[in-house]
Parts: sequence; structure tokens; C-alpha cells
Amino acid sequence: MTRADTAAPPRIAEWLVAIASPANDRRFVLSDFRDAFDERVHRDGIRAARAWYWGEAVRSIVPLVARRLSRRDASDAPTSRARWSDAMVDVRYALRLSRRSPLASIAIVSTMTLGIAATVAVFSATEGVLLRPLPFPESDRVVQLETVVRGQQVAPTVAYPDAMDFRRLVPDFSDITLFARGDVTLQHGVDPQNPRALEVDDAYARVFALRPALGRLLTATDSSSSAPKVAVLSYDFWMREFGGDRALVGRTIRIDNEPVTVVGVLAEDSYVFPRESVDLLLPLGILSTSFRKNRGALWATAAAKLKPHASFQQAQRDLASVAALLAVQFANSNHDLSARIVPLREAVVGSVRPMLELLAAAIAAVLLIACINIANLVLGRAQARTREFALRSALGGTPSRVRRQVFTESLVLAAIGGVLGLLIAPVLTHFLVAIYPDALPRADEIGIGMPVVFVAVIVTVAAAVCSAIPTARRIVRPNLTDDLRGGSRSSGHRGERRTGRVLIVMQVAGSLALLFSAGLLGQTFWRLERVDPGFDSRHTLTFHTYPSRERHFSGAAIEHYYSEVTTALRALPGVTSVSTTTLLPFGGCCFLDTFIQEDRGDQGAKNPQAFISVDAPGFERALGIPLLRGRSFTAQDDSSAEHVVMLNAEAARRMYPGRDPIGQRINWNGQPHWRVVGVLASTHLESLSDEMGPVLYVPATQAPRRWRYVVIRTTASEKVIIAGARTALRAIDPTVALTDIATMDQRVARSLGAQRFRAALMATLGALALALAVIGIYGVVAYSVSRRTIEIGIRMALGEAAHDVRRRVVVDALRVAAIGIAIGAALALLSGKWLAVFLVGVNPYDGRLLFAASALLTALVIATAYGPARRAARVDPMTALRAD
Amino acid sequence: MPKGQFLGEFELLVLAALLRLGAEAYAVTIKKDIEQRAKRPASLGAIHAAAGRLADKGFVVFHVSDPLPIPGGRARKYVRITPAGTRALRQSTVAVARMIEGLELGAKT
Repeated sequence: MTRADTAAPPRIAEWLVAIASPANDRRFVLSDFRDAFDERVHRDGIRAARAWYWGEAVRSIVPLVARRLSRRDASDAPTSRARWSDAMVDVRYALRLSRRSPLASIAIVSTMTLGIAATVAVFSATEGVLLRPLPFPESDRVVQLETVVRGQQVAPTVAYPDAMDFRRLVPDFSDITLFARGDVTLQHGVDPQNPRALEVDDAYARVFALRPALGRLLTATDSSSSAPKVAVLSYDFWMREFGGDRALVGRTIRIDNEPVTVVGVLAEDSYVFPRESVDLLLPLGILSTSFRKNRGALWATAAAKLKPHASFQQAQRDLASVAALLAVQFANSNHDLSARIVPLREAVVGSVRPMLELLAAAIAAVLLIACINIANLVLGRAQARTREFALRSALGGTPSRVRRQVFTESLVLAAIGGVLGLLIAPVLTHFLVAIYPDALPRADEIGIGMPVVFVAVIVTVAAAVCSAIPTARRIVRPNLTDDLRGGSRSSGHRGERRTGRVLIVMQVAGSLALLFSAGLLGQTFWRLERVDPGFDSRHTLTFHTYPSRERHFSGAAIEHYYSEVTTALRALPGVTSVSTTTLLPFGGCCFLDTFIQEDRGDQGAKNPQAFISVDAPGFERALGIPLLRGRSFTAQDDSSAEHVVMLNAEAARRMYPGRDPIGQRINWNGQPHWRVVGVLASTHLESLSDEMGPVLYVPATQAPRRWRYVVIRTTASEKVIIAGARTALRAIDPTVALTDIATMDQRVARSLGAQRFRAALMATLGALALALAVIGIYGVVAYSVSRRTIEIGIRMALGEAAHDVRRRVVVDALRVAAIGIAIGAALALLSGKWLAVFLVGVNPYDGRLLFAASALLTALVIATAYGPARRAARVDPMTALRAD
Repeated sequence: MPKGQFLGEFELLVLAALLRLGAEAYAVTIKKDIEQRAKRPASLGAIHAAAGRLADKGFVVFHVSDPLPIPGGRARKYVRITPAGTRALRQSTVAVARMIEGLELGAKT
């Protein structure tokens, strides 16, 4: 035996060569290695041979692995290429097929297009508004501070001293900023204007990560009362009002008739809160008004930034415990108060969340119904091709191959719809934002980005798959002999009839739920439109004014200004009544204050609260609020006369239940003995759906207020009056701006915008769903009738009357629809529960409405089924029997 | 020559070895031939890989021998050049020759 016979190559090296080699070459490679190794053993000895083996193995690994990988590609290539070309064949076939039945194809593609466009539009709005983080660095760590009153009411504001204590005692916040909207008049250009101003402290820039484009931001020293007055402009405002003048920084502008130095301009992409956009940032003046330093004066908006590792829950707990501490320490002011935080994004968009969710759910329901219709169409077309599929199966087409064809057909049409839908979606989104009541927060951030395209693709594929499933299921187990015989006119497969029925059931159920929802929202809108606001909104024009401190400093000066304005406006043609008020219904709310009933004495936290309205004589006539008891304010109720107030009916009911409030006295504004002289009817203040709150009316002469709404009741057209008012006010003081100009009718209508939008939206979608359902039901019934021609022919040959045939077809359809209605009723009640937040004075489980919607659907099913039923009854028995 | 049918340098060496070795050509003999004549190392793995690539292009065919008539005798995978392979070898060498014709390549390699 030679050495070579016993010498073995190194095992690890051999193993390496084995796993590196392509599988089908492996034994030859190893054998060649062994040959060469044996030769080396003979020539150089075992050690050298083993060393050689190792070297050769290592050198061989790279080429072998490369070969192995390229072979995998090569060996797969033919099949993947074949699969690809198969797919292309399927696609071409699908396109050819869709040209052959253009109507069905157009129906499928346009349904898909609309469904996908609507879905994408709603999703892009939802994504832009609800899902995307706010557009500034670390926005996810910023929260808004809110005050919880009596454990239930939430005020989005805090008191200044409380915020200072939170800053000191809550360890989770790295910064707390306080800010408030400012009412200022800017004297610039032709007419004075009220820019959107925000008073902010120095922490504001840190929390919202602001950067200056020019100059500097506000600092802590700017807020002190002795500091020179300064302002920072927003980029847009700087461009719009000052044409982007870089020399403006360091110069002064006139705000409230005082010179204010512009120290900086915000960067263009700055994010500001709570307003969507802001023109001016001014230093927050804590000392300027003393009430701002009171505990219990909830005037400041506050935002805090969490420390990098602080958790939201922990911050919430810490804040609550500090608030509890303050409630004990300052029982007088804080005893009912607690605090909480909400993520800033929630504070910005939280109010629109339910609306967008409603929208998304409604659109999803419509898309589902659309898919069912498409499934119907695809199924119908496939059934007309039963023979083709049977033939393919008979010729060896595997079920999976045939199924793939079906899915490809569906996918091709859906893809066309998807692309068109994606093209249309931005238009729909734009439309949605435009018709959205009020302003949709973050609307400018809505766009079609990658997530939206991703969702569009998912929706398209899902829609394609969903609509192909019934067909694919149907053709997996074909009845070859029947189908090949052309049994398409026989009595119809049980399976396919069941599929058709399931589709009807789903469509009827979905439509009923949508109809019911539309009915609930429509009812809400209808009811609200008929609610009496408590005042006469017709022929009343209103606007807001703010005479400057510099020109009209004292209460008497303000009073003088407004009496001049009133007199001038009264002189305008067609004006029947002019007055002023601080609490304009539907004019943005409200200043709530506490006072003491003198008949009860000071009751601390239980003292009554009311919204304060400071009014000139005759305001109730101008607004059309009925005077229920006593008298209204007169010119004699001036600052030297006895202090008087009026109550609204709600305040009277709460404060003096079962007693006459006239002649009672209250202690308000730190002054005793305000005598109640009259009671006015209660009015809605913010919306027709809110409860009428208590209001305390005070004569302007006895508690002057600088900013007011001017109310003009007139028979002339509003345009004429607005022009006249502008001229009149300019003549009195050209530095005062007229803002927020609207008729009371417009204000009321605006407050109903959300309800109108919801009702219109649901009605549209409900109608769409109904139309789709009718089309779908018609398709299924007509198809089922055509499949049962022979059966019907036999029955008629055996003597069944035509009207019996008709009845049977309709009753058949109704029987199926009844199941759909039963399921739909359950869905409807669920959606009612979910819609309850949107409903006002409407029962979310309204039985009558449910009955009406069901009746409507039933009638539609009967009407829809009647057409095919008549055709069935006209079947000539002989023709039908001969046909097979 | 259609695209993708070009010969790499190593493939060219393998084809030349095949022409010379004729029926005796398998990885071990090819390796020896290349190492002796071309004076460059040629690993068995590289030869197998190159032969596989050449087979994909239709320039070589394999034939597997019966196991050798000895105990533990192993089968060998013999490689033979096809007419297309011969043609490709000729075209490649001619192309190289034409390209370097008249060039000063410096010192003798």
C-alpha cells in the first residue's frame, strides 16, 4: 500500500471546497482535488501535499463561489424569465379582454379610480394633519399645559403664578413658555390694521425652536416694564407689509400709536402656536395689567418641553401633584383647579381628529362597496368565460395558473384605476381642504408624499385582490364536464349563486349603515338650523374695533369715542339701530367672571359665575334680544349714577330660582351694589348646539372696555353700510381699524359649517353607496335570471304564470336583501354609537330613521329586481328549452 | 461574436489548453498545462468555474468518465472544446494580435 493510499487531504479544507462548489459540480471538483493531491503526495510527501491542498482550496473558493452564485442566477433565470413572460402574457390578455367588453372595463376602472382617489385624498389629509409630527425640531417633546376646573371642565390656559410654580417644581420640564394673543393696531399703510400678534416670553423661542432670519429674537429683558418697546416680525408679514426691507430691523413701526423697534424677523419656516400664522411677536407684559398676576386668572397659554428622558406619564403625574399642592396652599383661588398636559400635536389637531376619522371610515365603506361592485363585474365576466377556464383546465392549466390570470386581470384594471386615482387625488384633497369648515389646521402641510403613494399602492392591490377573490374561488373547482358542454345556461352553480348573494348582502348592509349615518347627521344639521339663537340675526352688520390707548386713554375718552361712532353710524341711511357690546354672540367667546350675590354673601368657590358683556344702551335692540323683565340700560346709567346690571334668563334662573331678580344686588369687579334692573332672553353664544350660558350685562359707561363689537341693524345693503362705516370711523379717528366684519346671519351660518359639511359629506357618500349598490344588485339579479332561463322555461312550460315568475325573482332578491338589512341595521346602530359626538338633539339609535332607511333600501331592491324579473317572465318556454 | 460571448483572459488560456490536450483534458491536466506554459498559477476552482462559464457560452462540452477501474476510483469530468469554442479562441487571439501589432511593449516579458 502506498502512502498516497492512506494519506487523506486536510478535512476542513476539503469541506471548504465542498461547500464552495456548485452542487452539481461538487463531486468532480473534489475528485480533481484528490487526484492532484495524490500526485503531490507521491512527489513531495504528505506534509507538502496537505499544505498545497490548503493553498489550492483557499485560492479556489472565490472563483467557485462566484460560479455558484452566477449559476444560481443562470439556473433561475429561465424560470423567472418564463414567469415574467407568463405575467406579460396575462397582462396583454387582460388588456385585450378589457377591450372586448369596454363598458364593463370602463365601469371597473372608473369605480376604482374614484374609490382610490377618494381614499388617497382622505388619507393624505389624515396623514398631513394627524400623523405627521409638527414641523419643528423635537416637536414630539412639546406639550401644552391645561387647567382642569372642578375635575371636568378643561381650560386651555393657565394662571401666571401657577406656571411659575410649575417651572420651579415640576422636574420633567426643561422649559415652560407663557404666551397670549395680543390685540394691537398697527398704523401702517392706508388703513390701520389689526395684525395677528402674539405676546411671548423669552422661553417661547426655545420651546418652538425659533430662529431669526434677521436681527434677534425676544429676550427676558424685553419683557420688563422699563425696557424699550420691541417687536419681532414673522417672515410673511415682513415680506407682505414691508416688502422684505432688510433695513427695517432697528427701525421703529407704530403699534397702538406708539413707536416700537423691530429687533428681528423670524425665519421663513418658523412654527408658531397657537395661531396657524402670526404677524408679530411682542414681549409678554406681565406687569402691564395687574390681573395677569392673579392666581385663578387663567389667561396665559402655556407650553412646556419635556427633558430628553422624561416620560409623558411621569410629567403628567408630577404636574398633577404640584397642582394638588397649590390647591391646598392657595385654597381660595386654586381649590377647584388641577393641571394636565396634552401633546402639542393633539392640542393643534385634536379637535379635527373625530371628523377626519369619520371621513376615513365613510370613505372606506364606499371603497368597500365599490370593490364589491367590481368583484361582481369581474365575476360576471368570468362566468361568461366559464368555458374558457374549463378548457384551460382541461388542457392542463393548473388552478394556480388560471387563478393567476384572474388576479392579473383584476390587477391590471385596478392599476389603471390606481394611477388615475393618484392623479386625481390632489384635486380632491384640495377640494376637501377648501370645503372644510373653518380652517383645517396644518392644511398647508397636506401633500402627496411617499407614505401616501405607498398607501395608494396598498389600496390598489388590496382592491384588486378583494375583487378577484370571488372569481378565483369559483374557478378553482370547475365542473369541467358541465362547463365544457357550455352549461352556462343551465341552472347555475350553487357556489356562484351563493357568491352573488353574499355580495348583495354586503352591499345592502354597507349602504344601510351609510344611509343611516347620513340621516343622523342630516337631522342634526336640520335641527340646528331651526334652533332659535335667542336673537334676531337678520339685517344686522357687525365689526370689531380697538381704539388705541394713546389717543383714547381714559374710560371717558373711550366712551366719548364710541358715542361719536354710534352717532355717526346712526346718521347713515337705512340704519335703524346702532350699539356696541363686548360679548357678541358667535363673535368668538367669552370672558367668564365670578361675582358675589349680596343676598347670599360670599360663598368662596361656590360664588356664581357668568360671562361678562359690557354694552352700550340699545345693544339688545340692535341685536334683537328680547327684554323679558324690567328695563334696559339708558344714557342715564353713567359713571356717576347707581351701578346697574342686567342678567340673561339663564343667569336669573341659576341665581334667583323662583324669585324676582329685579332689585337684587351683586358685588362685582371689586365694587359692591350693582343693582339688577332687567332680564334679557338667553342667547346661544358660540354655537347653536351649546347650552345657553349665564350672562351678566354691564353698562359700558360704568365699566369701560376698549375693544368692542359695533352692531348695526339696518335695512340697507351691507356693502353700502360697510363703506359708510369705514368713512365715518376714519373721520373720527383714522388710526382705528375695522376688523372681523360680518353679518350676524353669516356668523350663525359659519358656526354651522361643521355640521353642514358632515351632513353634506355623508349624504353624498350615502347616495354614492346607494347608486353603487343598486348597480351591483341589478347585476347579480339579472345575471342569476339569465343563468336560470331553462329552469324558468320549464316552470312556465309546466304552467307557472308570468306574475308568479316575476314575484319569485323579486322575492328571491328581497330574501337576500333582508339578510343584508339585518346585518346593516347592526352596523348602523354601531355607527350611530360612534357618531354620537357629532349629534345634537338626535337619538343615535333612532328607530324611525333606521326603519325609513331600511324601507328605502327595500323599495330600491324591489325596483331594481323588477327589471330582470319582467325579462324572466317574458321567457318563451320553447326558446329556453331549445337553447341548450 | 454576439454580446456576452467574449472570452476573458483566463478562459482564453483554458480554451488553448483544451485544444492542446484533446481527449485528456480535465481540470488537473488543464491546470498543469497552464501553469507550465503560461507560467501563471491556475487554481482548480478557477478552472472549474471557467469551464462552467465556457459551457454556458457553448464553447465547451463535458463528458463524465466511468469511474476509474481501481478501488475507490473516481469519475472525471472531461472537457472538450466545441467548434464554436475553437472559433471564439481564434477570433480572440487574432483580435489581440491585431491590437498589439506594431506596439512597443518594452522589455521582454
